[in-house]
Amino acid sequence: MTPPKELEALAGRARRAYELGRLRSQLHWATLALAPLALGLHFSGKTAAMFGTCILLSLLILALRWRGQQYAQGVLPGLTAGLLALSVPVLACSSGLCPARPSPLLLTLCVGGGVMAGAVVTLRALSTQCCSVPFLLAAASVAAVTASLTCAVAGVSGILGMILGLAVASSPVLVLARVS
Amino acid sequence: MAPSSPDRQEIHRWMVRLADGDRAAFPPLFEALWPLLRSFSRRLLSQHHDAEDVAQQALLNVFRRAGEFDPQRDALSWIFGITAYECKTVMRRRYRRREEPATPTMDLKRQLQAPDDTEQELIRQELLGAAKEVLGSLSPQDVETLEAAFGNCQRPMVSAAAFRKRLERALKRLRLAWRLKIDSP
Repeated sequence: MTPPKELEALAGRARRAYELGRLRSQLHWATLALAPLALGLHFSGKTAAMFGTCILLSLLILALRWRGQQYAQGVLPGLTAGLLALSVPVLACSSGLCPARPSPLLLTLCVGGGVMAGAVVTLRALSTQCCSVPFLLAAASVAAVTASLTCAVAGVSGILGMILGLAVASSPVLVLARVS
Repeated sequence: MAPSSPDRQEIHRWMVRLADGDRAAFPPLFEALWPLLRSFSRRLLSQHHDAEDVAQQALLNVFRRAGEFDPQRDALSWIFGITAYECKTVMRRRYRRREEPATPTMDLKRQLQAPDDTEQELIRQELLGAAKEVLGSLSPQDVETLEAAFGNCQRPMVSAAAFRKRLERALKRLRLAWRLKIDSP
């Protein structure tokens, strides 16, 4: 029979082993942040800001994957939605519709991209059994950080506009999730 | 749940939940696994102080790898596979120090009889399952030869020398299959 104190210490070690092992097994997910980084670097020359946001996105993805359950399930839909919102200004500017600097049109595109991202997250939440607050919060936060890689070019208003668009499109499902 | 009465399916469910990141499954799984792994290691290793260390190491390895657990696999087989691997590592280390032969010291026949509680029953089932699986991978002739050697069926109509040769080959293949089974946790 193992003494209770030793058993407690063993449980503590096992818990630490579990958390560290879990973190290590999810490390590869952090590399997903490289895809939006490549698009962002193609769009804007603000390398330091891009790398900073990319690191933030990697850490966010890693934290959500490590946390698991609905938080982890929100990562991929969030990244997909964020990439969609991110590519709207990239496509518009590379086709000559607007310059890659702060402008009303770029701001509008960021808001539109945010709405699209919100719609993707909402559709994903409704199409699966993931309609929960953690899922929506995780997906929306990943989408927001991803899309901010290009919306940052439009300034703080661009990021805020994108977040507003995302919140407007996904809030009905969030309310639904809270009610249920 | 009492730690002495873990259910195979319940352990599997806890493991799946833990792999998904549900921390609430940790305490019951820990309580269920510790006595199981300790008994399992004691049965595989003759020295109790080594068995305790190996069980602890195996338990830590199980939890370290819990995030990678595939829900399609049977949790208990996966866990015992990790523990058996740990035991084998210790036996190899002992062998290198020439303390004892690098073969399991347990009396398998004794293990497969007379379980004294639920844990032992689970281990017995696990060993029986593994033995059946290994036997299933052998050719019908090998199985027949082994059964004849253990007196479970009639000896084939061959000379004693031929039977001895067949038995030797069957045992060699059985040993190889068993080693492959416990080397893949």
